Amino acid sequence: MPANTSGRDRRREKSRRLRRHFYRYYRWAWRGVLYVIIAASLAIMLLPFAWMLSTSGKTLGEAMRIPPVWIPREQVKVEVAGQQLPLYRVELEGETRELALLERARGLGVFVDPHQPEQRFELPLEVARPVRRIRFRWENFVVAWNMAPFDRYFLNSFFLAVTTALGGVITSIFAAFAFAKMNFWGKNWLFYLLIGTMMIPGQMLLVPNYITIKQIGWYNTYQALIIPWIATVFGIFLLRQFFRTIPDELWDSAQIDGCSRFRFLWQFVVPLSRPALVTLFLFRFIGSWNAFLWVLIMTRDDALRTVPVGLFTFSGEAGTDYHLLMAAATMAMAPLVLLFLVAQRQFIQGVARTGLK
Amino acid sequence: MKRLAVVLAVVVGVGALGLAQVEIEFWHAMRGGHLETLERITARFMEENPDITVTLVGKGGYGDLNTALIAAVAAGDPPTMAQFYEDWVAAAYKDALMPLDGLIPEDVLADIPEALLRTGIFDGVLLTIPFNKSTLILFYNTDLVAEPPKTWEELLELARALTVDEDGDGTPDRFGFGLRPYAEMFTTFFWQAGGQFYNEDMTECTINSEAGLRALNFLLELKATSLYQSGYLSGPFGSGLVAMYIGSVAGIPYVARAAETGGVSWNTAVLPKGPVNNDSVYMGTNVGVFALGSSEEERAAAVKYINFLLSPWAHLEWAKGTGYIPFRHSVITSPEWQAYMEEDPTRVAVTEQAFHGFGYPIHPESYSIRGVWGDMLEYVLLGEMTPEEALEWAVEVINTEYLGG
Repeated sequence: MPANTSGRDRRREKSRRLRRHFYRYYRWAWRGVLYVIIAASLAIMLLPFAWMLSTSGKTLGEAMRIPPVWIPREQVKVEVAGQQLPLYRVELEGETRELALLERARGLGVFVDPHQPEQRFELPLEVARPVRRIRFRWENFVVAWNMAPFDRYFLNSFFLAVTTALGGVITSIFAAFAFAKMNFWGKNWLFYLLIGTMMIPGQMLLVPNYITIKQIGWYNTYQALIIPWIATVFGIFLLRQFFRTIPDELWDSAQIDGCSRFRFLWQFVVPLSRPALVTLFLFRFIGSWNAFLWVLIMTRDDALRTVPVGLFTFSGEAGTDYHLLMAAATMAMAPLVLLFLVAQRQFIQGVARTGLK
Repeated sequence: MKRLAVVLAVVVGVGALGLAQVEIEFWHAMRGGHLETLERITARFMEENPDITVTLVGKGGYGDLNTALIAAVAAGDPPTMAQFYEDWVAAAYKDALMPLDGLIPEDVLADIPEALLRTGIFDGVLLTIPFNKSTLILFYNTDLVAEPPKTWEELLELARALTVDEDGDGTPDRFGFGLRPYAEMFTTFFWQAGGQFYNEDMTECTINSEAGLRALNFLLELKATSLYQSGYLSGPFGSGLVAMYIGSVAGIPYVARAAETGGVSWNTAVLPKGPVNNDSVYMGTNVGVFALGSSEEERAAAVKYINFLLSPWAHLEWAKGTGYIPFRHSVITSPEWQAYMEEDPTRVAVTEQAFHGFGYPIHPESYSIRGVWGDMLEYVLLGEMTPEEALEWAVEVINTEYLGG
């Protein structure tokens, strides 16, 4: 019997070990698959950014080349008899030589050896390969910056983004608190009605809003760009969801201690909701930073316009200066990336706790 | 002394009245070099007319401009003048614009090609005047193409000969032609094959014809030797990947820059001739003056400004600075323009093509109809429909959805 028992135990132990091994390998394999998926998704998401950064240092020709060029280069030039000439690599009598192109006509080129300028060769251009070296064109940023009044555009974008984001957060706090923590007649219906307005596309409201702005005399003013955007249904929804997670018992005990509703809101609810407030601020900031059509329609003067309107300078009806556009887009995106990095932790908490996706 | 003061006051007062400032707003969609040229011309106008201030207000791209205009007209307060596509006017602004008949000198109107002038006439009334007009043109690499093709057949033959797959991987290393699928590629070839877009009273689309088939079949053959992409072709052409392509003359500055970095020599040529002609569709917008919400002085100032834009100096500056076609016959034949063409040979073909053009028949739904033509071309070139099926589909959609058939 004991032998049998120990045999059974050994078998059990073996099977347990196997299961453990299998489970461990299974876990590793699953984790590996997960990492591959995450890495692939990350690569897909980062690819446009990588292209933007790389294109901001290219020439227009490189920016539009197919297949895409990832590392910007330039053709090497050499001085021959006081002239800067482009350098080519040519196969000549079984030997690879670097020659400068002196003249070109009808598919033929006159090449010259930079070290022996008296040696000239007439060759088909097709056999010559340009000699290139890596060069990131930082000057694209300067050119792009000077193509429109970007200093003013950035200033306006900051001002509008900060004011609308702050305004949006403040108005949403009050409205969301009312919907989350107070009881009044028709509260739910009013909330659904408010949420329902999110279904109406913004473009549909553009014309009536323009007429309103014109009639109250706000056309071409900062008021037109700020006031309509400091009330946000999305913000009310977001904060209401967050405020609902704060236990009602907290309000009950605060009431016992003689706390007013207003004090409870500012001293308890707001500090406890920091992640949601930061999330809302970020959403509003990004939304305002990227606003284009509203600013374009509601203003006349360049002095009131913002960065996205400036980015439009680089697109024409027959082509786009992609290298300059990407340089300007990199500059336009930098503040948003910085802001996200600073507020990252709060932002993730806010998104996680409000059930947003 | 007192009398002198009174006289001075009267003189100053009369002077001030005479120079009473009129401010007009011109809403446009010009950017970059095009805008700089417009600003230069406008500055000269204001220098010559110190009592008029023209404020140029950029409203983004054409779509954004139209949205802004719709909102402004709905609010009853549009700008004094703006740029318009024909179909915008037909659909939304016909009643808000001021007729220009009798306000533009007859000799100036007679100097503009009739097909181009017709793009501004609505129900027999001249409402808008051609402004930034462009045509399609053939761009070719002069290192590879000694003589540009003159006919469809020559174009196809040359495109085939210039398509090279050096490494034999099945993907050409150089394409003989570059093809971008948009409505004008179909409509231009369709017109060159002798097609008519609608019946006489514009109640039926008539592209489902022999000309429609010829155009689509030709484009399909051309596609086999082409780099086919929806993006602009100035880049691939400038890098030497594409030997020839047909594109807007407004793309000349972009081609010049791309070709300079790519080390490609290039020139332009008039479009190869189809079975009937070598016309190109006229693209671009006109300018018009709003009667709605503007004063008589503002309207008069706007007409003065339009006449200035049509003046030989401004017209020449505009064509030189932007690449848009010069369309006044007297300007094209002027010694200044001839000298300019010698300086810039790419403008020779542009000038010739300017007189070989056609405008779309004006219909309020032109924008949507143009979209269907573009979709139809794409379906054919992507192999999703045969030319016959695509033409039938397009006619059915256009007739039922836009022409009320």
